[in-house]
Amino acid sequence: MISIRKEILKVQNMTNLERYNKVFTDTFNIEVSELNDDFNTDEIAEWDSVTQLALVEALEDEFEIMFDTEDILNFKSYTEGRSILLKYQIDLEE
Amino acid sequence: MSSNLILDRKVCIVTGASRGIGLAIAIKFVKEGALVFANARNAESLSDDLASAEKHYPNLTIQYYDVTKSDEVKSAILEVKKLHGRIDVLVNNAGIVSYELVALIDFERFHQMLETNVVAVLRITQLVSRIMARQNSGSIINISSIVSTKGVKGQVSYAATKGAINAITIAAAKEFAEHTIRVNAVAPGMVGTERLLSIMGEKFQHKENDIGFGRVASPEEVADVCLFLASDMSSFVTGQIIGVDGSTIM
Repeated sequence: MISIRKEILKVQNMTNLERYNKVFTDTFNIEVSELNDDFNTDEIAEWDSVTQLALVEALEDEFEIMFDTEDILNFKSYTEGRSILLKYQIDLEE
Repeated sequence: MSSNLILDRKVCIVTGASRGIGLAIAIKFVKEGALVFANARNAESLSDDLASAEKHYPNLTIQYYDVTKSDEVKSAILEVKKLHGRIDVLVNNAGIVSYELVALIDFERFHQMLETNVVAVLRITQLVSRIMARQNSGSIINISSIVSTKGVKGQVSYAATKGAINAITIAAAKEFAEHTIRVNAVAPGMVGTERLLSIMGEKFQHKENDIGFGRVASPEEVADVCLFLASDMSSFVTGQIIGVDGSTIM
């Protein structure tokens, strides 16, 4: 069951990667261990257009950014999302 | 404690607010309690009127950006979102007007006008509507023109851009209805802005005879209609093109 996050996390003392992962685990209601390179729109049935927008919304709120339209369209995987965030100076390796 | 102000604490963005109708809207809104973000293209284009309005009204903030530049627009919208977490009203007022016969249309200028009057409106609407959809409310007001519905000799290219605005208004109203975002357009006739009055003596004086009320509108009269559309008084009004033309015969 997918839960649409409404509140901003902004949990202190979390790394960018932990915040990124939490958006996914909250949105898809999964464990962080399930997140890997295969977590994408082809493999995850629940990742539909509604979830796509929910993910974007949650990430925008969490990191205080706004995705360009092309980034919304290209955001098809957990891995791709990390690259997209880097474009907005959100480095998940830090 | 409840307020009697019509737009109490509503977060409003007004593009093209440096002068004329946009300035009147920004001032009208802030007087009614709104938190207004008034757009001017840059510091050079800033009018003394808007500069003094910012000094006079603490809740009026000038934002500099060119509506045709997506990065600048996005930064401005993001700034408002970071500050207030919401956007209640967007007034798409920034625009270019032109007067020429079809044979004299400069297509480079026409493309520039399309970019400002149409593409930029869609771009900012796209960004703001995403925020409004999350809050499940909002009012988008597009400034159209009487020439879009009644036509006029010598403004075919301008009328084309405002016709597009009407179409955007009607279609967006349908698309955003599920998020309770209202989209309406205001279509003024001749408005007594400084720009119009400066050229009216030469070109348009005889046109006043075509206005049933015998005079041009004031920018404040257009702003009044925008105030209605921005407020909860128009909570069930969407997809409308509202004329403000004093019974003009085109």
